[in-house]
Amino acid sequence: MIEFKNASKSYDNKSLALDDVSFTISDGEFVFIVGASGSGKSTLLKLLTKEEELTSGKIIINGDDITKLKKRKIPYLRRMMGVVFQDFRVIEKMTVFENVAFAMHIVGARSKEIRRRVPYVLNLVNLENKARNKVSELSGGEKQRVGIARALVNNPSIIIADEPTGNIDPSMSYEIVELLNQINKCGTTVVMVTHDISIVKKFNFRVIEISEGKLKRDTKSEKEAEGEKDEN
Amino acid sequence: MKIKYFFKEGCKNIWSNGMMSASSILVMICCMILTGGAMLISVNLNKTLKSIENQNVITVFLNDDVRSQSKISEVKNKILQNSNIIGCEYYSSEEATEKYHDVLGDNLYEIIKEDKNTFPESFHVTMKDLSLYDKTVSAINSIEEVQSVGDRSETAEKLSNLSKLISQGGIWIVLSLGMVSLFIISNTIKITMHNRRFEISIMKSVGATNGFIKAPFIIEGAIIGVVAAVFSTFMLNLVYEKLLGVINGIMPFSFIGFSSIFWKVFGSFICVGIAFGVVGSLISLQRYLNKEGGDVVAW
Repeated sequence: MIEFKNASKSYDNKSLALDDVSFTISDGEFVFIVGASGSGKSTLLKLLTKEEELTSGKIIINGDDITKLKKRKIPYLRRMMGVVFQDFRVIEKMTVFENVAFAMHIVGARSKEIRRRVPYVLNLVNLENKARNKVSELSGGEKQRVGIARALVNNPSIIIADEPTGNIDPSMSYEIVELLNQINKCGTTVVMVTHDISIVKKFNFRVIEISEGKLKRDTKSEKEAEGEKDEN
Repeated sequence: MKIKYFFKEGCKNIWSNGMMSASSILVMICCMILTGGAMLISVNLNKTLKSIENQNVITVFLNDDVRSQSKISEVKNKILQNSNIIGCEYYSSEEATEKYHDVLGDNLYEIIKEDKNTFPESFHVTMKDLSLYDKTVSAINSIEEVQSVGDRSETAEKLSNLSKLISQGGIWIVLSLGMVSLFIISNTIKITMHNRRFEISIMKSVGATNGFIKAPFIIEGAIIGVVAAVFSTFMLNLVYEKLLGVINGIMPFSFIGFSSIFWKVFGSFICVGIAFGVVGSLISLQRYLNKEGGDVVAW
C-alpha cells in the first residue's frame, strides 16, 4: 500500500511543487496520475522512488515511512519497484536479453536464475523472438516493452510508469497500457503518470489529478462519495 | 561472480575510453619513472656515503719542502706515534703522477713528470678505531711537516647534501606529478561515467547500491595503476641498466644492480599505482554518484 499524508515539496524554498497532497493506493490497484505539464506529477513519482526528499508530510509504502529511510537503504526500497521511463532508457548496444538481464545482475541474481527468468518475462511482453536482437534494431513500442520487461524482471510489487506512452505512436500506446493492465491483473500495483486523456478514458482505472501541486480530483473519493449518497 | 563482473566491466571501461586511459597510464609512468629514478640515485648515494664512512685509510699530504728521505722517515715516525694508527705507507710524488697518467693525458703527463714537485709527498695512513677519526686527523694536522689531510668528511658532506637535495627534489616531483596523475585519472573516470550515465541511471532505478555502481570504476582506476606500474618497472630497469653500463667504468664507486631491488621497486610501484588509481576514481565517483534519476542522464 502507498500512502501520501499531507505531502509537500518545494524546490529551494520557492514555489510548492506539491502542496499538502494526501491519498492512498491499495495493493493491486491501477492508478493514473494526470495533470498538465509542471503540475507536480513527476515530482510525485520522484518522491516515491526517493530521488527527491519531501519538505513536509509522510509517504508510507507497505507500512514503512520512507521519509525516514536512511540513504543506504534507498536501493532496497527501489528493488520493490519497477520503473518504466518515457525515454525507454534502454542500452542500445546491448541485446534485448542483455538489457533485461542487466537489471537482474545488479541485484546479484545468479546466472542460472537469469537464464530462467529473462525468457519468461520476455514472453510476457511478447518479445521472446527478439531476445538476441540489438535494441537499436527495435521500434519505439518494442523498446518500451523491453523497458517494461526490465521493470518486471525482479518481480517488484509496484510498477511506476512515467509517461510510458509519451514517445510512441498512439496505436502502440494502447498496447503498452494493455500490457501494464495484464501485469496489474497478476497483482502488481501500477502507478502511471500520463497526460494522454484518450488513454485515461479508454481504460477505466482510478484517476488522481494534480493541478499546481494540489490534489484536484481523485475518482476513488468521488465514487466513494457517490456510494455514500446512494446508500443515504 | 560479482568480482568477475566488476573486473569485466572495469576492463570494458578502459577499452571504450582508450585514449584517456592511455594518457592516464602515460602520465603515471612518467611520475613513477621520475620517482624511481630519484629513489635509485638516493639509494646509490647513500651506499657510497656509507662506504666512504667505513674507509679507515686517509691520505696525509706533506709540505712541498719535505722531499728528503730522512725528513720523510721522521714524519712517518711522528705519525706512527699516535696509538690509533696501525699503518703508514709512503706514497711518492712519482707514484701520484703515474696514478693520474690516464686523467692528465700523455702531453700533460710528460710535462708534470719532468717537474718532480707537482704532487706533494704523501702517506696512506690506516686507522684502528674509526670513532677516533676526528681526534686522529687533528693530531696529524698538528704535525709541522703536514700540509693537509685528505679528509673524507668533506666528500661525505658533499654527497650527503646531494642526497638530501635529490630526496627533497624527488618529493616535489612526486607531489606535482602525483597531482597531475590524480587529475587525469579522475577525469578519465568522469568521462567513463558520463559515457555510461544511462547505465548508471538504470542501475540506480533498479536498486543498485552505490558500492555496486562504484566497483567497476574503482577497478578501472586500479587497472590503470597496475599497468602503469608494470611498464614503469621494466622501463626503469632498462634505462638504469644501460646507464650503469656507461657509468660503471667512469665513476670510482660501485652501484647497486637493479635485480637486487627489482621486487621492492615493482611492489612499491604496484602499491602506489593502485592507490593513485583508486583515489583518482573516488574523486569523480563521490561527486557524481549523488546525482539521481533524470539528473544522471542529463549530466
